[in-house]
Amino acid sequence: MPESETAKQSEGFSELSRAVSTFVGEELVINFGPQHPSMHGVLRLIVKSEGEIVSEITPVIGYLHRGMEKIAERLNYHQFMPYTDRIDYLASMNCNFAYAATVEKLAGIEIPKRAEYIRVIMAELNRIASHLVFFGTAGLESGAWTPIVYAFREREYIVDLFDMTCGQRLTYNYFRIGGVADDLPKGFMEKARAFCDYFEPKIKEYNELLSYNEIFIKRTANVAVLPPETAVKYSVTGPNLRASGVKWDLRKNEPYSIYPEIDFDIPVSSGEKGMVGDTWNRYIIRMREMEESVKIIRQCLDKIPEGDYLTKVPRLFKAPPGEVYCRFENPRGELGFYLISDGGKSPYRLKIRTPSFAHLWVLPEISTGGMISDLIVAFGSLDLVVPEIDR
Amino acid sequence: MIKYFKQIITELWSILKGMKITIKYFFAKPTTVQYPEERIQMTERFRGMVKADTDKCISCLYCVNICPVSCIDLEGEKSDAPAKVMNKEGKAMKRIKTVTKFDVNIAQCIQCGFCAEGCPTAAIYLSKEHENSALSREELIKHYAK
Repeated sequence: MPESETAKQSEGFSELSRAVSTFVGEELVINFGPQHPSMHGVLRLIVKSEGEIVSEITPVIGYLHRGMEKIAERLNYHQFMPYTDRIDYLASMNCNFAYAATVEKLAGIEIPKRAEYIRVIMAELNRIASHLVFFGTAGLESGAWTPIVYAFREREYIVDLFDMTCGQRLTYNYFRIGGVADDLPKGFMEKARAFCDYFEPKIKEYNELLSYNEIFIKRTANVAVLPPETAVKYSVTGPNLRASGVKWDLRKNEPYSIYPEIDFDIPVSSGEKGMVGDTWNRYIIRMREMEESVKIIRQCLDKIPEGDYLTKVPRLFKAPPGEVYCRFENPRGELGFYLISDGGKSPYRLKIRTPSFAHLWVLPEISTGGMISDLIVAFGSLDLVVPEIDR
Repeated sequence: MIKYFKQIITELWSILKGMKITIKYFFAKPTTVQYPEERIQMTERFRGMVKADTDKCISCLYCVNICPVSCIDLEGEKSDAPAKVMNKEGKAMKRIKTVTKFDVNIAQCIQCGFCAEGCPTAAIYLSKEHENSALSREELIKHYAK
């Protein structure tokens, strides 16, 4: 879309909002959630509106608070692993990865090369699964019912792969401090390759079905624009930041694990349709990321070495006193673990920095002044997962 | 005016493009399974309900200590005649204690598999059972001791 047209549109929009505010005197307070079909979990928004125009949003959090950080102080290092599954249930593998690597860094544990490759394969598969859920719900929020069915059909293949490696379909608990719980099962490589071959054409199909659908573009382009300055100010990370045109990905900027050995690109939004940082750009960046993840998985499957998958770490090991902060690129953004040890068998303090928590607070910034129906689309495009906000 | 109609046509065209895909899948074979008439076989590593074979248990309390949610209640008693049990590696072990109480609260259990992973004699294991709803909380506490 040319810039002049965009400017005209936004001008028209503000004119509309002015016109509405002149004849609507009273503010209406709407309570969204905590149980609402378009809320991804239990989050409550108190929305003040003037007619159809949102004038104030106050998020209310805490409905899913489980006190994980405190629980960590009571358990030993190994025992906290299943809890990390529940930080972000759509990307359990990535959360497992981040926690395991943080403890390994603190304790100075070297892990076998094969384990590193298995970890990256799992993390990238989970990234695709997580983005597929986003793709489905993005359709739902803008009134398209079909994508979610297709998204879950493809996600099922990934979940099946996880099921055969670790025996669970949602909370995997597959990573261990020192490697992974078990070696890849028989037939995994073939199935994973078959998935890559099967999945790549599907992304093109999705693009035809939803991404480049004129109505969907009209619904999402130029809606809830997040400028790069605001994004950085609110410490927005991950795909949401890249959709605002900032090229920042920890897999490239602060490489960890085996990412430096792998060739892949970081998709950054360029404002192909609508303005940089709008809802459509936040959507399309995830579709492109799925393509990159397939690329990474393919390379890992080719390069994976034979060998051990776990360095034995004693059950009650004591980490040396000290503190460490590790951040990892999750499907939603940067997940950080700040771990302080006093030399005991459990952490002295574990602070979890989650991306969704930071992303929630830009919602009032980008959605005030817009329509209520756009609020739902904007909320969906931020890809928030509520257990991650509350921990 | 022309622009207006042009827009309608492009929108209709993109709907048709989407319809092409949906119609293709409309005539394709369904991917879902009609549960409970049809059932998917669980994978080899599937982590279902926790079960215990108390004849093998040596009451070492490994599972009790490693459980992150403390859902296992285990008590042992010194037996007069120590029996022999095989451990995971196939070596014989002396069982000095017999189990008097082995309760697993499956309402609390998160099926993480830590207990089965470290059990020296594979007495506690994760079965393939996954339909474990019950009408009362008491039914959810499984008693495995004989």
